Amino acid sequence: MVNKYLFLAFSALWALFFLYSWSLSRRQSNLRKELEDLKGKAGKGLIAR
Amino acid sequence: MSKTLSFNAHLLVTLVWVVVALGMVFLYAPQEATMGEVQRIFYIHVSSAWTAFVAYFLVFLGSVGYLWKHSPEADDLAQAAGEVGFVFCSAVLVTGPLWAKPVWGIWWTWDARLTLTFVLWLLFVSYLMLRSYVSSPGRTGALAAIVGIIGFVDVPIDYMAIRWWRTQHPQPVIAGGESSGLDPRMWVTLLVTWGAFLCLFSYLLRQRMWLAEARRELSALRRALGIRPSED
Repeated sequence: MVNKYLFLAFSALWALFFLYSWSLSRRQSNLRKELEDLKGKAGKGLIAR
Repeated sequence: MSKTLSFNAHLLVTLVWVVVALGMVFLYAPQEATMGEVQRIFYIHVSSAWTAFVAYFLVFLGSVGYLWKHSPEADDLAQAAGEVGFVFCSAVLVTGPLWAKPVWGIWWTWDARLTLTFVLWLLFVSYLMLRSYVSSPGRTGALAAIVGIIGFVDVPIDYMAIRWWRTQHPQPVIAGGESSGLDPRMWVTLLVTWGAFLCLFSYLLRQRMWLAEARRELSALRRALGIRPSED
């Protein structure tokens, strides 16, 4: 049987990396969306210069 | 090669390397005589610690670069390395107690090595908090760079702590004198695992730098179009 501390250490490590990757990818996707919105507004002439 | 393809190739290499490293940790590295199975935490614990040291070195380099040349790219590097380094330093603080409990009988003790690693983690936290709470772009970079440079002093002291002081943390098994040493198979496994962690670190660093660069470009675009962030 796998030692419980060993199991917990490896699980916690990969959970940590996974959570960070997910947070990074979410921020990137929000930024892309923001950029698209801005381009859309600029294209429609909604931005006051 | 486009940036997306380059990111995907980097991710693929990282995943393959991580799988090889895990295979070596569980199938190739011999079981340690005294601690048994739980000693295998060593490979991820030490690799995370060394990667966190590399991260803080990059924070230091980026900070010096920003103060010296006022280069936004250097600031992006410092910011990205600070954030990804924080993740690896957290991994050290999570895996350490999970190894300490079955071996020492305690989760934590305030000895020099453990305390200095905790201080390093707090430095990463304060660096990131400073970046979030100071809103003026030029000031944020300069203040964060000063914290990044001063904080780097902790890295060599933390590394040398187990050589300078008698600590609960084991004395060095690598480059620690005549009585230290690792089985060659453990050595190879450690180096392969550290390589996998560095590959993962560099992948996350590149992704985080892309984010910083894109944010900077978005702000410049907003300014050029005459809109403020709250107007979107």
